[in-house]
Amino acid sequence: MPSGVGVIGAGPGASALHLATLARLSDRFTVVHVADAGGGRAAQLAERVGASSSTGTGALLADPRVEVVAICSPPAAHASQILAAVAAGKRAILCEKPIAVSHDEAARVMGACRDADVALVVGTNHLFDPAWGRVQHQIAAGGAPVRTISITVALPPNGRYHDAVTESLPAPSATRGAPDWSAPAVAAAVLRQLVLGLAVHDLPLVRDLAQRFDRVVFARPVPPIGYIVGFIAGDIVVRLAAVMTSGGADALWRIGIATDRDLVDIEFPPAFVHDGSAAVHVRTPDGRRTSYPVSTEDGYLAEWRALASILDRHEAVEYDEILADAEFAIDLADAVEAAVLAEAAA
Amino acid sequence: MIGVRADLPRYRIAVAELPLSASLASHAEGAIVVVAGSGRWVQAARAALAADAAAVIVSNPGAFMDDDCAELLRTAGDRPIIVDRPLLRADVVASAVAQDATAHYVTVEVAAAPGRRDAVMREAVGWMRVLAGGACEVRGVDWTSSARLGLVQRVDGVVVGALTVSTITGADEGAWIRAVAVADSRVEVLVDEADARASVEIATADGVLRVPRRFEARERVALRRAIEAAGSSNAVADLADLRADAAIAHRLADKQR
Repeated sequence: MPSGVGVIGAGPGASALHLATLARLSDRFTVVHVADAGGGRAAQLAERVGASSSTGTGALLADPRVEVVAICSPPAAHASQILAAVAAGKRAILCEKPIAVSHDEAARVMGACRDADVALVVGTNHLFDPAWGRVQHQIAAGGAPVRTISITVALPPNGRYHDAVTESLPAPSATRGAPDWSAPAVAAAVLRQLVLGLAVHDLPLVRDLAQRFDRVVFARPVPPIGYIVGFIAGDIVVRLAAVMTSGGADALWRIGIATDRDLVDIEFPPAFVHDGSAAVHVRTPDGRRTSYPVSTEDGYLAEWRALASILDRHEAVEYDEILADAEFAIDLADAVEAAVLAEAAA
Repeated sequence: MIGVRADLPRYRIAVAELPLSASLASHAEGAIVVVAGSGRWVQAARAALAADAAAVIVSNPGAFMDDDCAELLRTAGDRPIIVDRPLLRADVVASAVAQDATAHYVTVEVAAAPGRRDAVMREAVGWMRVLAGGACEVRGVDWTSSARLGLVQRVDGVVVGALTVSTITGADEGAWIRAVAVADSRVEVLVDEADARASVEIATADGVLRVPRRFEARERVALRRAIEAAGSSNAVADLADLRADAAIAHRLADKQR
């Protein structure tokens, strides 16, 4: 019997991502309720899948058919919605990243989930991508320390990828307005949001390799919307660069890892699509190159399967790891914000 | 037809591969003089110019004192000095800059054996300059026990970029540089000495174009450029670019945050 899923949020993260993903896992999960903040899109999405709809989170959390809560709302709402779901007695949550935007929130969320033995999975699809396990194995087998991590991201508007997995309802054109980067407070705040909303995709992977965050070296906005950030994490140099372009080339989402021995590239497919795992390429010092096969499983499917495994008591929730990932991201976001303000003041 | 005084065998081959344009010469006067980039190459180039060379090619230049290089530029006057940089070939550069779009950002990653790190970093800085579209400056630098991180931006502040440098130990089949310029279209340059070649890929909404492989030896490219420059009044910026790249690389290598 599939577990009933209540989806909080009715934007593309619900319609093009999680509904499309859950359609591939219909033997294990079924969407029974969709809620939004009042925009009316929840009803349209719910109608497609034969689910109920509502406004706000109250009715969804009171719906006894909802066994699993999928939180697909804006990041600032995640922590309060997790806490509300736990308080409502829900025992399984898949929350889009991040789970919290402050240390206090993160501690309260994880405390509540741990105390209630809630099955919690964070939608860090890159972390769940099967390719990441291969990369960890490659690096471990090589036995050489990681020296640099270079994450390069270029994202055209998502519409082309939404169109690959769903049919979108007519909506006002979603033009990306550029922030006023000349205002230091705006720049600092937006960069903080971008770290917690975009860079956060890969920060759990960085933490897997680097363990700790030390200091930001630079943090700059990249117009129209993006960032370039450099930081030191233990004995590892980390460089993040990302920008949202206005169109053109397909998305680039690549993590380059240099060890003392190997150069490892992980190239993730664009967001939203189900095109298998990331591709992994390795160059060794003798000039040889190895490419790992791409698996049909992608990170989105894998994160839901991970939740199913927890529900089935085959896996345990990694509360400490989830909390540490959240704290790592928040530490970096805070440091990036401070760096932008400090440079403006200098 | 112009004379070429060259002791380096690969340049003598390049002369043979340009039989209608060049011939070997035993003297510097009025000729293109090829100077090996090892050792005191700046002094060798100045000597060639003092002997009335029409142009100088510096092959794979090593380290140099900037003051000496400035003096070399003054000595050259209008006479061209072509700098042949194996990791920054002029023909590959031309392919990479064919997309006339200002980058949102540029990233350059470098991996090299410890003994070559600084030399390769200078060439990587050259790729940063090329893809950023102009002269750059360092805005931040930091390092760990075996890696470096630099924030580099075009001097007008329009394009920002970052450079990461790591060292490879073990069997070394050569240095590796990857430079990416991101705009709506995207240019990616990969220079891998293990392949003995460089590739340029240009990604647009229509797909990814890989620029055709270059079959011409880099020495022949440099010699063609020297012949062309010697016969024209167009200024050649190779030496100025080399100095600028070396200055930035020195700043990145310097352990002062």
